[in-house]
Amino acid sequence: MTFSMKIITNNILLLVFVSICNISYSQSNTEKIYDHKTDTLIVLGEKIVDTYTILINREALLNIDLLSVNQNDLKVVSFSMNALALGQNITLNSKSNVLTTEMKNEILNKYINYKFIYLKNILLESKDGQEFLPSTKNIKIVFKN
Amino acid sequence: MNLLKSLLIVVIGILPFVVNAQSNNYKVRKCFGYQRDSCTTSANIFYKLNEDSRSALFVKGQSSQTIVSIYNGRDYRISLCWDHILGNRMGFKILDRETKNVLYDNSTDEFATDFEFTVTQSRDIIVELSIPGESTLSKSEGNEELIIIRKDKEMGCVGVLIEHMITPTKGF
Repeated sequence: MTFSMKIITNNILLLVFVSICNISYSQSNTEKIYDHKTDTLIVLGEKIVDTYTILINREALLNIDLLSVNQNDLKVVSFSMNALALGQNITLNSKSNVLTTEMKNEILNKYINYKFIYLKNILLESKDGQEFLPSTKNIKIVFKN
Repeated sequence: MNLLKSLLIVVIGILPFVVNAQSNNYKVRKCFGYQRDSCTTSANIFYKLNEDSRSALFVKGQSSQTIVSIYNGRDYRISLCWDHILGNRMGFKILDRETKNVLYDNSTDEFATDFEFTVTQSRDIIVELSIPGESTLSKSEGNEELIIIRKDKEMGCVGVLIEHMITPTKGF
């Protein structure tokens, strides 16, 4: 192998290495997407929540009464809603799978106008009474309007 | 001819590193316009860029504040971006300039890098950023000792992108 061929080979290897580094770095920054069959995911209305953040219309969320799960043998037994705004930080708890009236009133609060809320501490229970956590531990719901 | 080809490939080979090291170009102001180039803007098309957006060079362990005026009847979105050399999370607080009350603290919000809110009362707020970690500068106690800061390991750009829009009316 001539000297120039060696240089060419080295530089091609270098280029490949840099490209792999760039690809893996950009992939590490993407949000994890969960699998609808194997992961335990929360269902809001008809939508399976498979990302940490979801965008939704405020009215669409208010039309949802229950949190459900994509696995038939599991149900939500408790969760909390955390709403944040400038100078406001409120946490409301539900002891069932129902989005309570207090939660809906807070989402509707026109004075504070929360731009996003979190669903946290979601606890699931199987038919035989075992407790589980969903794959998406917390869900950030950002309002489109 | 072979030499020319080799030279070309060497140039192509080092190009990614040159591009990566653009932040060390001293012909332009360090971090100038960083927030425009690096922070993620809102998907909401009604948001406009606020002129209080800014960027600066930070050292690990440094805290800094900037004052922003916010107005009643507007929605604001403040988002942060920074060079990965400064770590993977950043402290971000919003304080009332008059009362010094903490209005928002991202440590209670899973170290979120953006915060969106509606303003119901015009006021001046303080946006406070805290870079985690420590550097020779943050460890020094202000003595007149010689401080050497490693630019490649302890310094990086931070951008604060502020967007605003008129609060959308609810109902008819």
